[in-house]
Amino acid sequence: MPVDLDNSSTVSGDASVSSTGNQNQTPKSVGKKKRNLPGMPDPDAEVIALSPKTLMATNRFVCEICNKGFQRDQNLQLHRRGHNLPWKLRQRSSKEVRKKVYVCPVAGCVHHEPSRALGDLTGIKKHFCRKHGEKKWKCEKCSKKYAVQSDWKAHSKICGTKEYKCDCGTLFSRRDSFITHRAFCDALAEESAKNHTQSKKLYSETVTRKNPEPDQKSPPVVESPPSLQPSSSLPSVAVAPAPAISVESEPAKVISSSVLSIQNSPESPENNPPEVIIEEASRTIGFNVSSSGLSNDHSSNNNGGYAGMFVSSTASPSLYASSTASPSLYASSTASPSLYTPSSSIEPISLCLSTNPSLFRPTIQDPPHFLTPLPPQPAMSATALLQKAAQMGSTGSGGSLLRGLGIVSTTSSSMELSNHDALSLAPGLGLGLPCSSGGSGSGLKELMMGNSSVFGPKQTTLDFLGLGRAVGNGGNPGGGLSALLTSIGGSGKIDVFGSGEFSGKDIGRSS
Amino acid sequence: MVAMLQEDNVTSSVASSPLQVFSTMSLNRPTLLASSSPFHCLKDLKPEERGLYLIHLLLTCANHVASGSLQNANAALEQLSHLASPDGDTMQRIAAYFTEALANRILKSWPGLYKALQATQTRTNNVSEEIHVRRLFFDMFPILKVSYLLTNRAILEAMEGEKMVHVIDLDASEPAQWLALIQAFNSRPEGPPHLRITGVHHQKEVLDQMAHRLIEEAEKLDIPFQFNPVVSRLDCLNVEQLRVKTGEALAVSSVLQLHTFLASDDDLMRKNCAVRFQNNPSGIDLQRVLMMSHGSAAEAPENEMSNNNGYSPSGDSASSLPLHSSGRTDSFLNAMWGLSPKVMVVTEQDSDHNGSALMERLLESLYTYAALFDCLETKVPRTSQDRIKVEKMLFGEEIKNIIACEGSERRERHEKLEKWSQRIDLAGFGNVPLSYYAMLQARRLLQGCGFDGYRIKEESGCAVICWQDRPLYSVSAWRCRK
Repeated sequence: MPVDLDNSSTVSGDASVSSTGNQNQTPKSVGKKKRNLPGMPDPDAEVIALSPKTLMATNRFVCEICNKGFQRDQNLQLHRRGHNLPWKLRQRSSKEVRKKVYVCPVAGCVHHEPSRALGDLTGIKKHFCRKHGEKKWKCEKCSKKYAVQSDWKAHSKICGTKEYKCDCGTLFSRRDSFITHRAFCDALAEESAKNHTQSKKLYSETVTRKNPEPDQKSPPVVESPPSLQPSSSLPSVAVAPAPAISVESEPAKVISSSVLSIQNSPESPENNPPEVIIEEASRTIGFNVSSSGLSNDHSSNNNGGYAGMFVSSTASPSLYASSTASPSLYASSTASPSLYTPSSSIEPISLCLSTNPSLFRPTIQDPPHFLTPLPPQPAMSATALLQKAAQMGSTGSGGSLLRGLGIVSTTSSSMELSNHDALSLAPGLGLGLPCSSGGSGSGLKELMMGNSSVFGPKQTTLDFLGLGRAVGNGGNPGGGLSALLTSIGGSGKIDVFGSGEFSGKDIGRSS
Repeated sequence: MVAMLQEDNVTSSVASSPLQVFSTMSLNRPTLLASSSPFHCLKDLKPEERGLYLIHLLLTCANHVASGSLQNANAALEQLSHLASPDGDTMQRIAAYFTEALANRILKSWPGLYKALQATQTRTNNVSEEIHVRRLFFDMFPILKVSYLLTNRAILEAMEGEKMVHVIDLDASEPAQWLALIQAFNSRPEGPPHLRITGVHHQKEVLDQMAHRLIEEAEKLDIPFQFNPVVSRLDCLNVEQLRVKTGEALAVSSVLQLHTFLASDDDLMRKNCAVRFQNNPSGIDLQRVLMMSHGSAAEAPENEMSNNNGYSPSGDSASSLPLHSSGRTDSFLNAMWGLSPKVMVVTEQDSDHNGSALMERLLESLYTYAALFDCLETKVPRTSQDRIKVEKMLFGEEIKNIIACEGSERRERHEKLEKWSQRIDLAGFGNVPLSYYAMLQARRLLQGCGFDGYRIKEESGCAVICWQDRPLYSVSAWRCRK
């Protein structure tokens, strides 16, 4: 017969039948405490309903000497030692302790039912305070109030630390809700449209063209557009770009693929690749990465996958081309580097080059950067700069850059020395440098090399005098220019990286 | 006048290390160097170009410093100080600290001048600032967190079934590490052991604070616990002070401490050079003599030094990699071995900043600190004072030490994991591979909490924490091998 204590009943509610069998169970081993699954309290546990006063009490054990309160008797006993009072630590009771579960005393509360009893004393106390208590703790930064101190502490730790702000002004504390919102946010779509000043005209063209030509997508991209079309709240951006779209719309394509990837998540949850890509996108913000992921369908969908993605995209001449593997995605044409567009995208190219999610990282806090590949650019990460310098060193293409900037350094004697040093240090450094770039290094270098050729043709209107500006401003107006000219000498070719900002600005000045 | 610009066909003359070559480019016009006016146009450079220019300048300057041409170094420093700034972007900040280090290095070649300046500079390194910066490092980077996690797991696994556990912390500055261990011990199935933690640190306040926090936690959880503080610098530590009882289950944790021992070795080595000349048949000592005569300036001969330092005082054991002579380090490791710990967990930087040539160190440390500064850039806004503090007081000081100091002054002697593994192995320890579960937890830690960009990879049983692909720190566990 089940033992029936005065103010408790077995959880099953049926005193006779169900617990008879349980009575003869072997007692639980004293080693590991078995935890019941949440929501399913132990059927033969003793149900206890404590009074509200007991539940709200904080320190039940009080020292008689100094009135310090303790939550546990054990702690009080240890404390009493300090007062040289007699103390006794209770041993764990040798007889088998019946498991207790607690119900909330407030009638009408969910946890008032024995079947919804909580197994933990602390738990029921916290529950009682939260639901039926007064909210005494208030967060300083926002106006949230809490009844339980630990809740308040936990909240104030994260309050205001992580905030994502959409362009439309809405604030989010959770990344997932932020991303979902952004996918649908109208303001964001307009923003991204506005930022493509070069391709604005064509963008709208592509926009209109996209809608009537949805079938131009090639099979690999099964997962994305079709599902997007009907429900898309960004009709202009979501659909696959038509293949015949001219060059300048590449950035738009990129945008579309990025938004595409974002949208994919809510739209087609059953498809793995888009989701994973969203993960990627949300984590790395490399929308380039994400779309190349789309195209290449790589399984390397974690952080380690960057290298993979970039390497895989070295097939196409430049990173941009691959990642707007939208061309390969949606059409069979591969964008050739010369298609590349005006100056403003050069920086993004160099940005992309630095396989650094670190680069993309800040943009997660800052949505405009995320979706707009065009600057205002954060500076290139230092690691990327070093790699670039190393690259320039190994291909020799950067020398003229430095010349162009009027960089001078060593006299010929130290040149010899440094050569010597270089030679002697070569083994170590040769080892060190490629290694340091790791897996992405090879891809990166190829890309960089690819890109240096990209840079060349682009700078068609680069102002020679603009270059001269850097050189000639200082004490050598004519001299510097002529020096520049003579140093460049017969080849007459200069590869200057960087934006076309030099172009045209100083035409008036030097002539 | 507009000219068409196409690709340059000039190939570099020295087809060796790319970065080195980069620094030697465009060596044509010394005249422009003299004029100071290019500077204001330099300010209009885009960040990327400026960054590259900074790298170029740094390398050039270091070249000059290494070769002793101080005039040129001075000119380069001038340009650097115009462009670099501790409040600028990542590259500017790095350049600022490296510039300072190089300048310090030059200054040290006039010891009188240096000392005179240092004397009146009040070094207000109050303890609380240091503690604050350490805390910031703990918060801003996952490195210590991962290290503590792995250390604790290794200890837990080694101490399975033990009733009395004694842990020695060679740098007891962060209570969080042991708080976590106490909690972990508390929740292990067989119940918590009797735990004793001995903390070594040179600042008493830090130890007091640690004692307070740990005792509080242990009382809360009702675990028998004892904290023994040992106020001492690590290199003057006497193992007797640690009070290890025989038969105790001992664990040792060393977080970023071992490399300081290498500093004293360098000095010893130089002093004992003559003695070893007779003892050593391998004939490498010509270089050593040269080195002694050159004093602290890094010269080409020193390049050979590191290659021939296979001489190890502990015997003829063939080292596959050259080790710097390691008298003090070895004796410390031997002492640790003598205590026969069940597990010793070592966290160290995994970078080669201990080359004897300045350029070597500069190049390597450029990469390492570029990675570290990048981490900060992505996590903390530029205007944050905390970030500037970490950069200045932690990394800046390390950089200064690596670049400007030599001999026993240079305490930041980071070495690659391989070298450490060799050393520790030589001292009689066997590697304990970190468990799968530990690595899993570490990876999870890095994936959550916004530590994107960090990776952790496993290298022969040891964990290496990388930023992107650049290894930064390593954690390895060792047991006493009889």
